[in-house]
Amino acid sequence: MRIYETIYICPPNLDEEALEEFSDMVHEVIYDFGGKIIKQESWGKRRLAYKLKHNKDGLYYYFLYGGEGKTVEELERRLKLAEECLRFLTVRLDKELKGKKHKIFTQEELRLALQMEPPPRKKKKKREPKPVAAEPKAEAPAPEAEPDEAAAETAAADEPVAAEEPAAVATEAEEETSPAEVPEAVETEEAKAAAEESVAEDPEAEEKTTAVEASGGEEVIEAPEAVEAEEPEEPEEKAEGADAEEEK
Amino acid sequence: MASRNKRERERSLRRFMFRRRKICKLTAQKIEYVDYKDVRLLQNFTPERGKIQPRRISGTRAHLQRQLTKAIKRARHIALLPYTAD
Repeated sequence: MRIYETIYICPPNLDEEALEEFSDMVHEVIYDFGGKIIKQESWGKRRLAYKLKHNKDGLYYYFLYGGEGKTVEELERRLKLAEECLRFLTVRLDKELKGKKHKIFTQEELRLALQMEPPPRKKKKKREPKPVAAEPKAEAPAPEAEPDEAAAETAAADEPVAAEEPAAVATEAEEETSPAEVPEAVETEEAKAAAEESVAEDPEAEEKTTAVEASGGEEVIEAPEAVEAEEPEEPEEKAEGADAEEEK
Repeated sequence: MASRNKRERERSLRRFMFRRRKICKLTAQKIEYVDYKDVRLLQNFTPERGKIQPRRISGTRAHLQRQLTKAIKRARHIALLPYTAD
């Protein structure tokens, strides 16, 4: 079924009976030739843009309907013959409105009017339950990842120690400027450093700490500059530590 | 030589002239289907004489201008718009 709209204009001097008869005739033609009316409107008297058969005004009637080619064929034939009709225009809408936004009718309106079945829903794809196969795969990588992460954590924990050590020295220097916030961090960092170095069980490291602690008072002034310059480079700092040991 | 100078002068003149960027009225209103029944809308595109305003002036998108001309012609047929106005 195709969707059409037809507008026709009647002269304003027609009496109401004739107008009704005429619109009834249109109804009949549409229904007799396999059509269905969706919407029917009367726009009333309107000023014409130009004279039609010496009429300045016209009565506009609007029909929105579904039908076939023969419906329109017959309707237009009748309208052409009828003296009550000054002008008519038929437009096939379904083709014109395809995929376009418009205000002429809603899809719901159309469906209700034409009593068409709602558009068939797409069949849902049957999902085969495969949890048994999927779960072990998901689980398998997890245990593997954990030890890796643990290793990474230990590695990461070892590395920061070197970085934190000088940082702690730097903070010690900064204590003078901001004594309120820093001390806690310094304490914790020192604790961490001590703990992790003991974990590492390097006799040299223990010596380092002792060396640093012993010389801490003296180095405070000198260390920050060196640390600031060389913070990202860990091995050199270690070397410095070694140097300090040698000096001691 | 003279011709080249002239061309250059024209070009520089054009550069000095202020030209407002055209905006498609229909796109601005998010209209996808130009309905021939919407007389108010169509009148925006028909100057006093009732002619169809060319795209180079209104700046309408090509596909909308095509719809527009069709809609205006239909509206004229059922006497919603004039063919000519004197």
